[in-house]
Amino acid sequence: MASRWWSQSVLTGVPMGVVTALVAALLTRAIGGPSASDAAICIGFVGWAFGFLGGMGAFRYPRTLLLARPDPTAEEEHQLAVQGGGPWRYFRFTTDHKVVGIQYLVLGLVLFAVGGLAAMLIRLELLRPGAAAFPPATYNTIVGLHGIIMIAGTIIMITGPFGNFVVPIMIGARDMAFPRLNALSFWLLFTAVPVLLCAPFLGGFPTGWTSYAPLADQAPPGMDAFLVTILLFGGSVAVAGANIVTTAITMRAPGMTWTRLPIFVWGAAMTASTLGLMVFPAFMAAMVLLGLDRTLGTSFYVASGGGSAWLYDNLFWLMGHPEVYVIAIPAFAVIMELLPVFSRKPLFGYRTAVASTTAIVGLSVLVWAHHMFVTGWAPQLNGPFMLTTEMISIPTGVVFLVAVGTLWRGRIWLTVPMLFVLSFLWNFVIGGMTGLYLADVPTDYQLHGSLFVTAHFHYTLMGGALMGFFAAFYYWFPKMTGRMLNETLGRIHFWVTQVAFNVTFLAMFYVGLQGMPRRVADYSAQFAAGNFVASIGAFVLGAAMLVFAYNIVSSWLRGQRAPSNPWHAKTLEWQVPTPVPLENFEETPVITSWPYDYGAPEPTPEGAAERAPA
Amino acid sequence: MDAAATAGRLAAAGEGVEAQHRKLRIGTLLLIASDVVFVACLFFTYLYLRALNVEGRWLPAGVQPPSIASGLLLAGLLVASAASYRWADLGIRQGDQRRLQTGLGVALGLVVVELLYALWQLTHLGFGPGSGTFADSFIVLTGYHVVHLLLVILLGGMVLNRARHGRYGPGRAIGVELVGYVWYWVALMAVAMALLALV
Repeated sequence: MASRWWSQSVLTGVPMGVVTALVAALLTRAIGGPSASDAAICIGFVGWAFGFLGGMGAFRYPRTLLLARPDPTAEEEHQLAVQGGGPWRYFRFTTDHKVVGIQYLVLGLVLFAVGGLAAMLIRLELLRPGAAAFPPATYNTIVGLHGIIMIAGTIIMITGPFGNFVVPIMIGARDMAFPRLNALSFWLLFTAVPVLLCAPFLGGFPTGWTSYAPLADQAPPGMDAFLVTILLFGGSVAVAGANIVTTAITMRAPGMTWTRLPIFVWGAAMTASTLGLMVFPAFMAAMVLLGLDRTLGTSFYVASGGGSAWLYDNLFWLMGHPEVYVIAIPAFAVIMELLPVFSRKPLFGYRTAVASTTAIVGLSVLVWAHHMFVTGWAPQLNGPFMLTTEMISIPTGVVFLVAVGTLWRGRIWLTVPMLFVLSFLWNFVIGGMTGLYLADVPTDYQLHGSLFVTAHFHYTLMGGALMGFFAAFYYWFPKMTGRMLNETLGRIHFWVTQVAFNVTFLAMFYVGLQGMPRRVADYSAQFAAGNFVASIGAFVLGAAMLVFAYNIVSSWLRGQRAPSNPWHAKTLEWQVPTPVPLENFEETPVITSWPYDYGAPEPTPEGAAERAPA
Repeated sequence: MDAAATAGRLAAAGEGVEAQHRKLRIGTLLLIASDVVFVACLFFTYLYLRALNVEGRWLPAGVQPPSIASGLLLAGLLVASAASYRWADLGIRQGDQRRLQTGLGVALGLVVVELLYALWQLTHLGFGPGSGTFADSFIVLTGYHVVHLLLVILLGGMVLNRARHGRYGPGRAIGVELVGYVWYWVALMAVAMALLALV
């Protein structure tokens, strides 16, 4: 066991990672010669990840197994879970799921801050035609960084923090199924961040987050950083996915049947299984082939060598389209989780909600080629893919029916989390309805390369998924930190965000319909007004996020202490004390009813006493 | 809460041996599932490029694919190895330590032979990366197979070492079973690769 406070922490991980990276890169360069510079960069980054994890102590247990040493004792397991307590445990290989949840939360917020800053820079460039805040190559890299950081952040933002912190408690478990893998998934994700942030210093990458070939084949070495980032991120979500799904299947408390499972657990498990295990490996395969094209001279995506950019398109969108649907699933689950609490009514159509969510996940893997309507790939398949894409609006509509049915004649309690739930419903309807035009082949031909797509995408991911995150954040923050967020600042954050968001992206719809292409650093004067409005909206949106950031920091440090169940909710996480004890429960709970029996028409103090029967 | 209390509470919570084993089986199979998807994408790549490259572009002049017999030999070696591993796994469930170690040793030896043969094949192909899409697809599939073999050797070596230290026995051989899942999957991939040569 680690004896000094600094050992086997980021203080040892980072130096070991850097040294390993340098050694690996220099060795590769020495063996391969000058032509191996891309390979040296890739191998150096992989070396960084291994070295960092080694320095963090992530390989202690595998070494124990390999050398046939005795299994860790209960004392050692306990030490690994608490890591001496105190704030420093957040910088170590700590296995307690609550620590990992907080780690994910903070890293996710940092990613959003960086991605958001990139968004501000993009809107600065597009503030007026002819602006030259950045050279075109730098602008392209900023767009790519914004895209991939926000996509990665959106993938982890709900299942990472809340899937780790809340799910085990919700199902009556003492930890995740595999605590070590849990810590590994977080720290593997952590290793990907500096790799991606190295990209601008290696010439950047001109491809955007989609990293389309063959442009990616010809890109500067920043592309190597991008592809290694995806491999590390993919490894992290695969490990996390296996862990969350196994936890949901095997760790439920006695009596927690599938039909009593909180809807959020369904959402987290479906997302984890689909994203981490079923679709992200396709992106990883695409990146491996790209890496081979760039380092060994293969021609998977190079037409002159017999390869095909369509191959990349297929592999990428085999991941990409399930992904952009499935990352909204946790947000769906959050709103369905919160609606009964703040409507004081049972969830309307629980089984229908589960079935619809399953249908969305199932259909999402059958729609990928709608991104390729204009590429000329298999035009005879345009019709079937249009059909499957439009079919997905049916289960999505049913989820909205569940939401509205739960709201119907409820006693709405307009807390800040509930405000974000309602904004999700508003924004996602706009995102979904505009998506139909892009699923439709003739209109997609007209709109595909325009900012209309960007606006649609942001309405689903930011207006939808991110609002779900905000709802979850305001809802579970008291349980995770023991502090209440400031209500007034929360409301300011909400209203400014909603207005600014809609101004920004409605303006973007407008210029998109006018025909303004996306992925450009400059544009014709006819699009000036719409872009000016969008940029001003974006800057106000950025200011709203500063309010949010201030609220987090000030409330976390000196906010009002949270009671154990401030929302009078019935799921298990609200029945345990705050802060949550190491093993969550004094005694294993026995579940005898589902968690949405809100009989009281309004939140009352008596409601707090209604607990899941034990 | 101290460690003794932790262990006691875990036992009280029904985190017994069977529950632990079920958890480990499901987790392992899920991780293998993600690898299956990855490999499926490599197979898709092979088939996609095979369909795209007609009129001699699949096999440019000078590129001769390895014989089908060679693929079958590689698959056969791994199937035999997996069978030996399974025999060892079933043996330890009955408490037969000698059978465990013998079976593991044979299985591991066959994988090492397979690895050496695969490496020899890769370095004696007569073509390399950039020699057309067949060459590229073949090299990436075989290369990933080599990665799999290295993983199997690492895991197999670990199981053999732990077996030598008496870490397994009836009711406590879940580690052998879990590594077996990886072993069988890698053997299955070898068979699929041999069949791919027929396309």
